[in-house]
Amino acid sequence: MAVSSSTQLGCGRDIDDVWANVDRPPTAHEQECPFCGPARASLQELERATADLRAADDVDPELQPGPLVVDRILEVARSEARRSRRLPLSKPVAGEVTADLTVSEQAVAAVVRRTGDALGGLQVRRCSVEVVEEPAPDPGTSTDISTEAARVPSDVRVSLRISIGPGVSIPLLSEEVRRAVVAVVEREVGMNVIGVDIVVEDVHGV
Amino acid sequence: METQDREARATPRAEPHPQHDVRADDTGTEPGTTVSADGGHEGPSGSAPFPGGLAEATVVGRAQDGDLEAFELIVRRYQGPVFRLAYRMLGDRGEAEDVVQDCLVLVWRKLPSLTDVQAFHRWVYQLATRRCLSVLRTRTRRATDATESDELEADLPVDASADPASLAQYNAQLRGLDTFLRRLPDEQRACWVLRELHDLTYPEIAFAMNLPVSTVRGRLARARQNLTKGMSAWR
Repeated sequence: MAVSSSTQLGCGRDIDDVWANVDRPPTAHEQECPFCGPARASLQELERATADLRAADDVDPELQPGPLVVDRILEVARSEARRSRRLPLSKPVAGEVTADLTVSEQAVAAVVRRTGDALGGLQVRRCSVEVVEEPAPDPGTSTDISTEAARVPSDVRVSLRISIGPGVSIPLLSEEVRRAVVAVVEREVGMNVIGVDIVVEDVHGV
Repeated sequence: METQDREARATPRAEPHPQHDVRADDTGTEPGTTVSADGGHEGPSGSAPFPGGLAEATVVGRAQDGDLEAFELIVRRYQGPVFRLAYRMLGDRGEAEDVVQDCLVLVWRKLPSLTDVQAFHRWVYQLATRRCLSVLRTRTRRATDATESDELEADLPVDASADPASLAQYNAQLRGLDTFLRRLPDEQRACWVLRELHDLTYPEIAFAMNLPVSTVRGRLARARQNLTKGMSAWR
């Protein structure tokens, strides 16, 4: 097949212009012109062939990758799973260098997303959790308290970027989300939520 | 190779792009769009919800947070379209599967750097298209043209029973479209497949191919011209 470099027809019009009009009735020029008429007919033929090809491709079982392809992709993703931060479950104790009980930020985010989804009217897109640090207690002041008794849940601040459904009241929803997040993180993770920042970044389903 | 000319071209990368207006730019000027007679060209893909009614941007945001379940939804949504794009570009199942795998693994690795979740759809197409063109360049360098045309012919499906799908396939074959599609220059074919089989807008194709919109328009016009010429000669 000769591949041509010009898209101008013999009458000087560009084939692009004929294409632009192909779904509309022919113009007076197109009815008369010995170049535009045939070009239009063959573009319409191309359009029909394209629709057929597309319909065939979309349902052709041969035009799907084998099932192993998805498995391999997911395997790579799991093996390269992004490590999220570990958050200490309790506040630092005087004299202790590292927290011995931690939870991953992703695990907290998963709990928060599930809770948000269950409320309805919103979709949690991003979720991050920050531990709010206090100055470490002075070792001198905690001498008479047993280490176990001194363990206090970490204070955390949860930041959400959400999308809301159409017609949802942002103030009401925010309050509901806040209460639910505080409750679920305390109950299921054991952390003390001191703040929930909510950014509504989109409206979905419109 | 893939990075050459990057500065000079239209919309080179996925990162910080205030491109929500892409579709709006497009509707007035794009010829021949079947869905946009009223100028309201709805995004084909990004708009269809995922299982559970989740918006694409939600699923993408969760995957950016490292949520593997969300990433799996993305993989299941895009594996078919990327495969069909690659198959129409490369004409080879094995190579098309490799493109699907490379492309979606790259999506996972690069997701954290995608700042505009609304750009996700065209970004996946960009990764996939670049991968296909790179495979084609490698192939050209190896210059295996002699065996290639045999393989391509062998790939043509021949069965045409009575069910509508294969009837459509049969009709398409009758008209010779897939044959002439294979013979188009690679970049023309890429533009045409992205536009006509995957509903990308002109600016989305420009983004995927790292070309100015005007060049995309020219390639599409040439592709249509070459396809109609081929098909007329076929009859």
